[in-house]
Amino acid sequence: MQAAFRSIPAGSPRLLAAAVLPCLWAGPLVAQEPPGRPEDSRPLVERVQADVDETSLRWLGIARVRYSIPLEFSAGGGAVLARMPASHDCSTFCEYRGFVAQLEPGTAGGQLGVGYARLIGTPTSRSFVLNNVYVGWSARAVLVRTWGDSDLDPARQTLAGFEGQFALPRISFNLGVLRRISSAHEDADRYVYTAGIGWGF
Amino acid sequence: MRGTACPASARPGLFALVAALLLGLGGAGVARGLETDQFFAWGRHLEDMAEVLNARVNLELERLVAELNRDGRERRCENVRFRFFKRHRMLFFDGFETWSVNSPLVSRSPSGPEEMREFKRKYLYGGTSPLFDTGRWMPPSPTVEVNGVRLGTDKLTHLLGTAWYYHRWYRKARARGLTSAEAEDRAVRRGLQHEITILGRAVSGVLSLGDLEANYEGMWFYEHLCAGDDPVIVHDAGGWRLRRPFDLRDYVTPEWDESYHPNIYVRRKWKKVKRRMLGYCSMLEHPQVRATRQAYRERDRVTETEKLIDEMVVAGKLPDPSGFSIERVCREAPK
Repeated sequence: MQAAFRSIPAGSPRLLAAAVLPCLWAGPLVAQEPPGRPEDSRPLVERVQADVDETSLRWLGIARVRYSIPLEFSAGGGAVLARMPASHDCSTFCEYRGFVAQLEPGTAGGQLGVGYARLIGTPTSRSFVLNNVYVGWSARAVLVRTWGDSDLDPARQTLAGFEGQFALPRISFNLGVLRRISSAHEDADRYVYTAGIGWGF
Repeated sequence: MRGTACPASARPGLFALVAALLLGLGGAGVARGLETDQFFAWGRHLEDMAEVLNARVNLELERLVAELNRDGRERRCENVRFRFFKRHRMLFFDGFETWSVNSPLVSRSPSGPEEMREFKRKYLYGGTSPLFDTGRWMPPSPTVEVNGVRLGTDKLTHLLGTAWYYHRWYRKARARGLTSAEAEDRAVRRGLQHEITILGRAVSGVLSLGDLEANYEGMWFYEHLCAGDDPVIVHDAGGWRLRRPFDLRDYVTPEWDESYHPNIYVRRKWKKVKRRMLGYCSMLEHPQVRATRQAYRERDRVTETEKLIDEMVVAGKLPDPSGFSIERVCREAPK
């Protein structure tokens, strides 16, 4: 298993903590015997099945920069927590499916997003940050607070809603809708449609 | 839901751009696989992976059968095909390929950090721009050996993923009353057009004939998955069951090896690929390379895809693929 990954064995009691605090928690590396070790005497079919079914939880750092409405220019950092075959080293590419959380401050607001992500990518060779997303998507529940020169009226407000993201190499897009949850004057619009384009995941 | 005064109306351009790109890229469902380089594997030992890859595909088929029997509703073969396709498919990538590039059970090249570093230096497409060559935006597929044929793991994506679209075209043509041969011809021609245009030669500068061969074989895999005289899975009184195991050896041909069956390149890319290919001329005399290519020649036959390519070459619509072969490159190399 590639040392780059922080992994949590299946069924670990740390699962809950890791799911709640994926960005902060860094569990010890767990050395698991690969199902295909040379001395493995099980029939091939069983070894293949074990290779598919023996999984561990891993988390992977994610980052993105984008221009979007209503955050304008922003940079986000977070993590994806995914269950995947324990033996896979991901040196070429891996598929990650699981929980995603990301915090993203921008020039006109900040966003906290949590949801589900599915992506194919490669982590950097000596770290646990995703540096290449080949294809992926996510669906997130987001909480947004605007500030500064935000185009919204009023400029400072709190919104909650949903965002969908689609990523390809070199580029990612997002669309979503937010509903104002903070108080505002009577004429203020309640809904904001969001869109963005940027790099990363 | 009301539109907001500021963002939605003030910046329609951003919304339009994002929506157009999402729709446009989402429509590229007939996505090609990745680029691959069999030259790098020349002279390197690889175990035959037929049994391992068969076991992986059969595991998925058994799980599909169990799922169908659990549901207890599905009867139509067409839906069963789609469910198998959907089980392992993600845009551009296929679950079997993702597994094969990661599993310690699969012997592949490059593999391991040292060989990966060497591959980065020697990669056939490594001379092109990583910024402007869209083929390099995706990771290269490693090489595996199946039944004596060396192929990129991307061929698994073509055989079990992209081929589903081929099969759909085939079935549509059949539904319109065309004969099997006519429907097959229709599907192969449409597949070639896709490879030439959408995400194929026009975009990445490479027309992979090996990919087309795998797509073609995959079309028949889907056709015989649950129909015909010799289906893989059948529905009878006891429900769905695996009637016979899938065997990759039934589909793999020497044409899947891109170092033997050359791709067609656009000029701008060919100049850079040719330079790298020249580095392998001395390897043509390597015992492993000679033996493999000799075995290929003995098994080689004219495929339906090759017939179509020949037709396109004669019509002047495609350059002759033999001009991109390693033999031609080495013959024409300055002494």
